[in-house]
Amino acid sequence: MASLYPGAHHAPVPTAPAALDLTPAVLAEYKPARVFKASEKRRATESERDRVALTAFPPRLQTDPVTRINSLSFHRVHQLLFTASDDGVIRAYDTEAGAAVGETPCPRTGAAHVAATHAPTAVLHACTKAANDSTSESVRVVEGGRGREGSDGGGARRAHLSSLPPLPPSSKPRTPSATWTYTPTPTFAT
Amino acid sequence: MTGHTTRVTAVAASPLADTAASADESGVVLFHDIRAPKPTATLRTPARATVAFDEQGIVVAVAADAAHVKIFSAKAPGGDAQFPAPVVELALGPAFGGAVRPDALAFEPAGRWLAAAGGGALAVLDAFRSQPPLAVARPGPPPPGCPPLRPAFSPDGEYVASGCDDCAVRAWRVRDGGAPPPAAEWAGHADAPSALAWAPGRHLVAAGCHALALWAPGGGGV
Repeated sequence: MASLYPGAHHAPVPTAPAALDLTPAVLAEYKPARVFKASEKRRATESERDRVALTAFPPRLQTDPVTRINSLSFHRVHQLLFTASDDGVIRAYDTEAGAAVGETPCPRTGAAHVAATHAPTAVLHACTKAANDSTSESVRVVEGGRGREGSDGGGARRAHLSSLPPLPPSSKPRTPSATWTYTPTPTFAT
Repeated sequence: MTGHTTRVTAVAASPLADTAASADESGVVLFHDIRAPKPTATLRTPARATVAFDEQGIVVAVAADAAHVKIFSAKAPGGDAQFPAPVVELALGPAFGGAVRPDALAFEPAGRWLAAAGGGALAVLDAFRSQPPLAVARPGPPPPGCPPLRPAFSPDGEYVASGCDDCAVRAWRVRDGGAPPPAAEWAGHADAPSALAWAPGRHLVAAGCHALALWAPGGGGV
């Protein structure tokens, strides 16, 4: 049969990896796939291999109290991970490519308690430098990971983590309506 | 978004709507429309609070005292309306010794269970009824200067993981009950990995101390 797109029929069709149940044996097989040192300065001359330790996970990494990662959050749909660190930077990682995709500095407010929203770029975070009055910003929405798009160096390494098998969801979700009854009363006492 | 007068202890985003909840040191829990600067509802609790949404977007869990976690409907009233009473109050039981407030809460992805961590203990509670904890683990207290150790459930809800004070990440099988031995232990972090999350629907765990490590079966399978 003639191909609808001449020349395209030789392109490899990506096959989704088979689902893998989370058994204790699988759990014991978990190993570091990527390690990002948040304190490292990303230099253009540095290769991806230098920036990202692939398998060697140094037992004692350099500690830098300024850049502790204080929170992280996966996006619920997109393959994205957001981290907030004590240096006030929100970083975004593509969990399929296993690469950093951008960072958003928040030097004025500081960053903690990052939480992904519906949008692939907007993230919520708490301000650590907020003045103690009710008119100052305490929680913000920022465009996470739009700062340095594409700083991972391109597609050569893009397939690394995309072959991770999916994990089947819980088979027995309980329906809340069966147990909970919503009877709001006008007062709340703690 | 404004409204807090003390340090924020938790931020949670609703999985369904453009709403979010945040808690602070003084025990104020605010509900936000993330498109508006002013909070939409306020809940006052006696002491430092923490808050978490379930993955279905139906309820929020609020921990404010050493004895209970309260579950509220996520349909918070707008304006100055009184906040409705909790849907259910879950007793923490003796896991926390009756003196320690939970620092972090996490719902199981299917909403069946709730993990409460604080003061070196981690308890998995039934999210629907107040009963003794299903499982109790002891990851140890966070080292000085380290944020609270946050628990994370696996997507299938079978395991709960947490960073530990000895710099390892451990996972416990909830079904084992009681005080189960860890089902897995992943060592190598330089400091206690306080930030921890399991990727939704994939075999990937992110743990952060001073470095961010992505853990996967066989190190990514390559």
